[in-house]
Amino acid sequence: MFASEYILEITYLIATALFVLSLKWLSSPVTARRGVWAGEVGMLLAIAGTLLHKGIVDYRWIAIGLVLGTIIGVPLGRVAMTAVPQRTALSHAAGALCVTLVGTAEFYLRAPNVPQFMMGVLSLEVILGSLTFTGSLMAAGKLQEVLPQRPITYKGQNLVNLGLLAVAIGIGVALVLHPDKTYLFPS
Amino acid sequence: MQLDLVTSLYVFLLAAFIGFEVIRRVSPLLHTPLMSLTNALDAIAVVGAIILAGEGRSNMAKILGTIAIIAATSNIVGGFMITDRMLKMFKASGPRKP
Repeated sequence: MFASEYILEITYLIATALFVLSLKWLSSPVTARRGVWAGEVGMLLAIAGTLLHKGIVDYRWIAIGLVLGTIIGVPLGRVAMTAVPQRTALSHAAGALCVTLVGTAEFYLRAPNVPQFMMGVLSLEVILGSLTFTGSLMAAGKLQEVLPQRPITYKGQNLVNLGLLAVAIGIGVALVLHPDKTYLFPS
Repeated sequence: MQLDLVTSLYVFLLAAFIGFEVIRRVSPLLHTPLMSLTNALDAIAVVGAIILAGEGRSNMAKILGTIAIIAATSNIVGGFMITDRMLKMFKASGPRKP
């Protein structure tokens, strides 16, 4: 390994320790704010370390993403305390979107030579991620009362939902068994 | 650094135990801040998104990576900010002992 790779790994190691401490410190009101601080420092270290990753050649898109994300994030951190439930639902959706997109991009980068185990993990990641994404958006919409409060139903809904889930799992299993069948998802 | 499958599973197992043990005794008072803090920490997936957008191995990876960075960064910034605001309110309403 090059020296820079050691630095990256050690940065991640420190960030991991800080994340564990962050959760631990948040367990008690006395140390809770120190917990937030540990989480912030850990996150900064992880991002800074990743930016030094030697494979990264183009910083433009990263900069655009970080700036736009901050612009969206600041108002989300300033919502009224009464709006916290829908804010949490919304950020669940954003987190799930991130994971889903990373999984999808990873699939296309490796297809058609995706190792079987990784294909299984990616399928699970994308299925659960997109379920969480749309589900959390619905929850946020209902909490914010932009969607009707009563359950939205139609005839045969359970059948359609279970059918869609079965199709998603079926495609996942098919891709695990034959990861080269990328015509299922042409890029 | 590449981990083999079994080593990764060990890491997963130990991390699962740590997560459970660390969260187990959280005072009910702190459940809401804990939710928003874990939400912010969850955005560590930004690391994968940064690598995707930065390596630029395909246009799709760049585009999806950039959207993923935006989503995750909004969670990091918003999540830490609101958690800190919640905890400040605890202090304002008088010192509480666990």
